[in-house]
Amino acid sequence: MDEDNFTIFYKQTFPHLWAYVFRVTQDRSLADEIAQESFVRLLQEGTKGREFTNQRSYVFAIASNLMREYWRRSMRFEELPVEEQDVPSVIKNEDVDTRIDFAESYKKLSDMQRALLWLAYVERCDHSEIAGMLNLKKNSVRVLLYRAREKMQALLMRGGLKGEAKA
Amino acid sequence: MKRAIQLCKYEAAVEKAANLNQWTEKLQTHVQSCSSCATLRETAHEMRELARDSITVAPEPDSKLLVLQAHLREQQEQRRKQRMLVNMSMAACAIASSTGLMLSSIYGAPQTNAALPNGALETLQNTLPSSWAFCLLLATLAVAWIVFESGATEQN
Repeated sequence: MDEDNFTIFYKQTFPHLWAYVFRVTQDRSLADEIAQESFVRLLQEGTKGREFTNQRSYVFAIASNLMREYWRRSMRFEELPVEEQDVPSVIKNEDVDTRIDFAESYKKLSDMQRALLWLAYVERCDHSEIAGMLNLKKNSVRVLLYRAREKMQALLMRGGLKGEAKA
Repeated sequence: MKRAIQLCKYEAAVEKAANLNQWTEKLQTHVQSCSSCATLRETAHEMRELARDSITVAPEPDSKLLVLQAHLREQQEQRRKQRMLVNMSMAACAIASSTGLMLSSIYGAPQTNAALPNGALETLQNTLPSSWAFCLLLATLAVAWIVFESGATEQN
């Protein structure tokens, strides 16, 4: 990738990548570091003469790997077994209206759940792409996404109920 | 306790529709009656709202700095590879010369009378102990240097 193409790609992608890392890690300086490092690594790969069909996906995959590396180092990586996750009881559709603050509830999800939801609904990645980025099995992504959504709804509901109680 | 999860058969279609914002009437009707798909639609929508807020506050570091950083790393990597090559060559030389010297000290000089001019073999045999000591010193120094360089490379 030549410098001009890189600059264009960088300007288009950096804010999105930074937002992804920031929202998943909840750490602004770490987001700066990981987002920049991801682009440097992309450039290094480029100089080795390799071509990637989807550079955007590739740079997101690099960032996801760096985050996983960080989680492993800081010993707070929450591996999510497919069968053992805190799933809330069934939520009725009308209860969704009790949502208070999506951003606050999102923070309470696990690292992996935050990454899953972001890649699926913000970056609109398909399940195989997500599996590749987060080092998961493709078949697990669907289930993990389901659990992440359900947990999110449960957190929103709890927030909503708390809000009502305070009022 | 493990709970069985019930994934809706329309989930993939709803996910696609939510991501592309292209809803068919059938899917819209389904979402109204399916709590799982309603959650999916709601989550996808809220996630994009959240992303919009985050993207606007993202910093924008100069891309030239990143290009420079990548070049520097590439150069470092090349230097490291070159150093490794030199180290390997040195090691090969040291091993070869040490082996040669060891063999010559055990078995003596090779029988090359025919190929050598008159007196050359005698000279060689006379000077062999000092040449041997000199080469051994060189080989020891080469090995010490290789060990030192390998340590320095690992630290870098």
